[in-house]
This record gives sequence, C-alpha cells and structure tokens, in this order.
Amino acid sequence: MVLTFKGGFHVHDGKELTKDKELRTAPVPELLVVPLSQHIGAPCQASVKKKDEVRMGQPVGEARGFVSAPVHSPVSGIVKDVKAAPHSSGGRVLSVLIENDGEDTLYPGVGERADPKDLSREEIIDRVKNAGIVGLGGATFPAHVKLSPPKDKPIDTIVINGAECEPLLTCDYRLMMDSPESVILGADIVRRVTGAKRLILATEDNKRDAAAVLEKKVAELGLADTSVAVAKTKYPQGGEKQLIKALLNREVPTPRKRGLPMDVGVIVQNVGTCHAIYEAVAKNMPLIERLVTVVGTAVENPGNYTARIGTPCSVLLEDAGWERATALLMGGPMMGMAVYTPEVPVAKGTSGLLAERIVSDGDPRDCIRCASCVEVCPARLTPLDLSVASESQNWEIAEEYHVDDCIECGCCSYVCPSNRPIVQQIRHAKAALRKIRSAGSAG
Amino acid sequence: MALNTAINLKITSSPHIRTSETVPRIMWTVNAVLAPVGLFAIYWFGWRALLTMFLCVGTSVVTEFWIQRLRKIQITCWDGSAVLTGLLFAYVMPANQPWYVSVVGSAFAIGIAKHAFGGLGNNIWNPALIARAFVLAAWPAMTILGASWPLPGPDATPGAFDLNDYRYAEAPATVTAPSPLTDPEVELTAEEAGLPDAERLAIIRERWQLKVDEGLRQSTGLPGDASSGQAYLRLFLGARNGCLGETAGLLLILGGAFLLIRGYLNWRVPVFFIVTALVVAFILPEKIRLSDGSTAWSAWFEGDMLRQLLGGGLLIGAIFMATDMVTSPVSNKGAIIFAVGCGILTALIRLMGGYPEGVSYSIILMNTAVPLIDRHTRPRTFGEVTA
Repeated sequence: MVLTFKGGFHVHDGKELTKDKELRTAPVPELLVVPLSQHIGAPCQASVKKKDEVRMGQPVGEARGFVSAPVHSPVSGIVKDVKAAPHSSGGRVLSVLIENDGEDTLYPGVGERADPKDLSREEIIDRVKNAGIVGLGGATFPAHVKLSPPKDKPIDTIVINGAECEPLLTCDYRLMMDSPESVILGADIVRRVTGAKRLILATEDNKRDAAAVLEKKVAELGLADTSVAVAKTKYPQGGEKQLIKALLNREVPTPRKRGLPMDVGVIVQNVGTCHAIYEAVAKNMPLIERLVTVVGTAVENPGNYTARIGTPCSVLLEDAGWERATALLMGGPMMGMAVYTPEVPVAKGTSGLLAERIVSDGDPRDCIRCASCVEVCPARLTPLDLSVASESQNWEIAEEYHVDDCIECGCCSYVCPSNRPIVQQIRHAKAALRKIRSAGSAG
Repeated sequence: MALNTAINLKITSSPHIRTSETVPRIMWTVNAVLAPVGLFAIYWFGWRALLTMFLCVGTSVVTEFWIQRLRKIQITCWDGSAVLTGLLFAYVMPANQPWYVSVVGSAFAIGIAKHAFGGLGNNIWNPALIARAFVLAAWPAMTILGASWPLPGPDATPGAFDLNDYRYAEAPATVTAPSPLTDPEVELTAEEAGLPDAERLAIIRERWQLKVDEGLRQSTGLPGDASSGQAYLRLFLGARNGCLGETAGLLLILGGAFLLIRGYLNWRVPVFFIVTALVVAFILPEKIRLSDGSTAWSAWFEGDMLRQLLGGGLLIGAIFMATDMVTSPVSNKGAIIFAVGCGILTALIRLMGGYPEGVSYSIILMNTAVPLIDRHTRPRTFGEVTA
C-alpha cells in the first residue's frame, strides 16, 4: 500500500546536491547574535546584560509563559550588547550579541550525563523545557508543550517526521544517516513521556537508505512497537496533518475547531527535535547548535553544516562559497522566508540557507480557473476563490471559504499558470481577519 | 564578504519556485493540438476553409489588440487565447461561410463575449459558442446552413478558389446534403394516413429510418448501396459534411488524449458529457416530422448512438468547448454535474427540439450554471470531520 494523502505534487527535489556530502562543522564566528524570539509563542526576556560574562550553554533569555522556550549562549564569552538585530522574520528582534572567547567553557551542569530511564516524566519534561527545544522542522513550536498533552486527550501513537519534503534540504536525511541512535532514543523518550504505545519513524521513499539505517538501529536497540514507515515522495508529505493522514488515515480536525494532532491521538516530532531531546535529556545539553543545509544556485560548494545558533548566515555562505545571489532564503524553497541581509543569524528553526539567483517571474495575470490549485491543495480548499476574495478585499468570502485552514504550503502558487501570488494573498486575508476579530472582541 | 553584503537581496513571498506552466503555454498547446483538424479541413473542404480560419483568427487577434489598447491595459493578443477563440469559432461554422460572418462573429466573440466581461478568465460563456449563437441569430438564413452543409467529396475541387463563393446570397447554392443529424420529413399517402394508429406508426418509423440511412449515405458521399458500417467509418474519419472543424472525429479524439496527458483537460467533462448524451439519446424516442405538419415519435430504447456521437458537434463540443477552463467548474464533482447537464440538454435539444444540433446551446446554458455548481460542490475541507 502506498502511504500518501490527497493533493500535493512531486517535483525534482535537487537533494543529490548535498545529501551524500560529509557533514561539515561551521566556523564559529567572533560575534554571535542570539535572537530572543526563535519560537512560536511569547519572546524571551533577556537574563543577561551588557558586559556580563557567559558560558557555553548558559541561559541568556528566559521563557515567558508556558508556550515559550529559553535561549542559551552557544559559546563562552562576553555579552557585547542586548539590542535589536536583523531577524529571519524580516524585521529586527531583540537579540543578545555575544563576543566569542573561543574557549567554549561549559556552563555548570551542561553536559552532565544521565540515563533517561532513571528520570521521571516531570524531570524529562523539565529538561526539555530548560534546554529550549522547539520543533526543528521549521514550525518552532516549543517541544515541552507537545510532551504535556491534556489528560482528556490520550496519545496512542508518536510519529517521527523524517519526511523532509522540501526540495533541496537534506539536513534531516543527514541526521538520520549519521546519528540514527540519538534520533530513535529521543523518539523513545517522547513515547515514554506521553504514554503512547506505538512509535512510527516516517520518511519518504526517496530516502529508503535512511529508512534502512533506522530499521537496523531499531532492531539493534530492541525497541518494541516501533516501526519505520516509508511514505510516497510528495510535497508536502512532511506537513504533520498530511503525514498523519498518510500513515494512519486519521484526519486532524480543522484549525477553526482548534484541532491538533493530539485530537486524533497522535504527536508528531521532527527527527531533529528528537535528536535535540535526546541530547537534552541524556547529556543535559541545551539547544545551541543544529544542522543546516547550505545550497542554492549561487552556492559553489553546497553541503550540510553543524552550526551554532546565532552564527550569521554570511559565515556559512562564505564557507560554502557564494556569488551573485539575488535572494537569500531561510528554510526550503517552498516555505522558506526571504531575508534582506546575510547578517541574519541561524536560529533554532533554520533548516536551510538558500542563496539563489532568481529570475523574475513576470507579472501575475487574471485567474483562468484552470483548477490546478484545487487539485494540489492538501487542505482541500479552492485557492482560486481565496485569491480573488483577498484581491477584492472580500474578507467574509475568504472566511466562508475557510482561509484559516490554509497551511501555506505554497502548492497553489507553485502550479499557478497565471503566476498569481496566492499564498501571499491568503496570508493577507488571514491577517485582515485576525485584525477584524480582535477589534470585534475588544469592542 | 563586503562584496556580498553590498548585494541587494530581493524579498519575495514563498513559494520561491514555480512550475514553468504559463497561460500562453497552455493556450498555444491547445492551438497546436487543433492544428491537424484545421489541416484536415483544408484538405476536405478546400482552400475556403483556410480563408475562413484566417479571417476568424486574424479578426480575433486584431480585435483583442485594439480593445486592450483602448482600455490601456497590457496587450496580450499573442498569448494564444485570442487565436484559440478565433480558431474554435471557425471550427464550429461552415467552411464556406461569407467573409463578413467570419469577421463579425470573431469580433463579437472577443469584443463582447470576452472583453465586455473583463477579459480572459472573467467571461461567463465560451466566447466561440456565444459568437456562433450570435451569428445564427443575426443571419437567420444561416440556420439553413446549420442544417445543411456543403458536401465535398469526390466531386469537390479542393484548391479551386472563387471569391464569389463567399457571397452570402450564393451560399445556399453550395448546399447539397443535409447534416447527418437532420430529421428527414416523412410523407404518407392518404390511404396510409387512414390506417389504424399502430400500423400507421410502424410505416412512419420504417420510412423515417430509411430516410435517415439515406441521409447518412448522402452526407458521407456514399452510393445508395453502401452499408451503414461504411457510413459510420466515414463519419469517424471526418469524411462528411458539417462544420469546418467538427467532422474530423478521430483527430479530435487524439487531440483530446494529448491534452489529457498534458494535464490540460479534466477527462470527466468529455466522458460524462458524451456518455450522458448517448445514453439519453438511446433511451428517448426521437421526434419525426410528417409532411402534413403533424409529428410522430420513434421507438423508445432504439436511439442510434453512433450517429449521435459522430454525426454532429458532440466531439468538438465535449472535448474542446465544454472543457474550457474559464467557463467550466473547478471541482471534479462540479465537472461531472456540468458534463451530465450538457449531455442531457444536448440529447433533449437534438431529439425533441426543432433544431438538429444541441451541443453549443447546451454548453452555453450549462456555462451559465457554473457559478452555482461551483458554490455547491466545494470540496470538503481537510479536517472538516463530524466527530
């Protein structure tokens, strides 16, 4: 049986550019920029000030509220400043600038080994929370929140997302190939903490070798109720709702009813997140580095890097060699964010750095109702109607046509022969509706 | 590093990659697929077919150019869409239609049916079919042409070009045979008319069937002793009278198959359209005109599906007109409803209306219903579960 979902499309993924290259360690720069907002939820509060001495792994930003995650110093050195700096969101965000002393002196407690089996559920969640772990697939949702589902929502299955459906990106693939053990052990921790029985490690059928590596490791570790699933290579297979549908044929309820995977008894974690959870629980290692794919038409020597959080993109791009880029994207080509300067730092959610020489698309035209967007929409919307509704600022229609269910995967814009910026229009409509609703609830 | 930071990075919204699919590419592909049909028409109907196509396409492009120029909007007359409208209009009209019908019809298609509604993507009805309806209403005598077409064949002289043939007054002179779908009139003697109903009806039906078969041979240029199998084969290959581009059944089907492979065509539309029309035409009786002005009906469950499929414009209509992206529903469910509606209306108009051809009007009528169909056939949103 082919594991898949309705909608989406297959595109030449270009993963061969980087997938088989040995993992590189990125140079650690003199100055690192650690943004205080690297997750979905409330930004951190700086817990250090200018001229403070910091150690590697020391918290420099405290979480505010439950849906938040602390940030840590990726090096040892001196806090040079706490000020607004360029951020992947397009604006400037309060960040801690740290002058690296090159010593990598560890903060007390960091790196202390523990056997996860000896830790209680609460201790594990605490460690994950204090390590500042967020969803590393790009959504950056604080991981400890997912590990604490409410009592009335029993979890039976943990899905580990190694689909990596974005073209060009291979950092999750590299992680599965190079460190299968920590991924699987991290996943097992998630299963234990949430009380789920079943564990599914999922990838796509263009990564069968990674699936084989995981399968072998699972057998070695002797884990029960653990399987490796290979879904069809199709974008956006790695969208968590799409993955759940493909693997378990369960449909996560609409966001209009605040539906979450836990409503269908599932929790999805990215492979990178599992690795980070293992590092946090077993080694008390906060999230201060991650894997980043550096690739693109303007990159000479693409590859995967282990980079400290806070490393300016320019450091990685210089190391890989880049020239005449017209656009710099953080993330994949389908959902990544374009940034205006290479000084933006690598953050927890940065899975890829794409330096591209993009040729102009030409102007958008009127919709010819070809219905390609309807065919590919994994949320099963009619994007053409949303596009026109947004264009004419008809927010009621946008709401009626379920604009809030859009996952912004970009399939509609990708296929549109009229070159319409459908996702952009949808984001615009969502923002307008948010504004109207908050005005309504305030008055 | 300094060099690179000096570069202006462009900020664009995701996704940052796109297919190479464009509207002009779609339009020119459909034009290319229709080209063999046009070549066949030149071979079969003679050079006059080429002139008609040239006038229709030329007028369409020029009209679009001037309208866009006057509206001061981007000029897109070469994106293939105006060419396609002109070509399709030519294909659903007689090859020997007067030159001014080609010009006025095409100008109407582009100027009124397309641009008065806002241009490509905003029109409600298929412009080529609206233009056809318009010229048939504007020159009522053209409806005679609609029922009786020039008959080429062994006696025709392809290549012989006589501008005088295009004068409208002389057009009827070129009419030599009725369309394969035309209902022949049945005559009864006074004696037969006085027979009991059942016997009289049997005679009417038998005579009507003979006349239909005779008409079929005539329209395909076959001698009186030819089998009906031969006649159907000629219908399928396109060797019959009819509209310029509707006769070449085989080429139309091949073209449709190509568009299907390229993903430009929703197979549900032609398949459900054709199957519905044929099934309804098989089930229902057909109206028979009698020479005394009264009517009778043929038998139930005896409709000739092959004649219905190959004799008129069902293939070009179902494959190239009903599938027009702009004027058909976007969801698969909607496409099926739309196509079934087209099929039913086509069969009803053909069998019971006073007009042998129902395809174009059925599509226009269903085009009108598309917004309604779309509204009620929206796909169920992911996660819209009743749990």
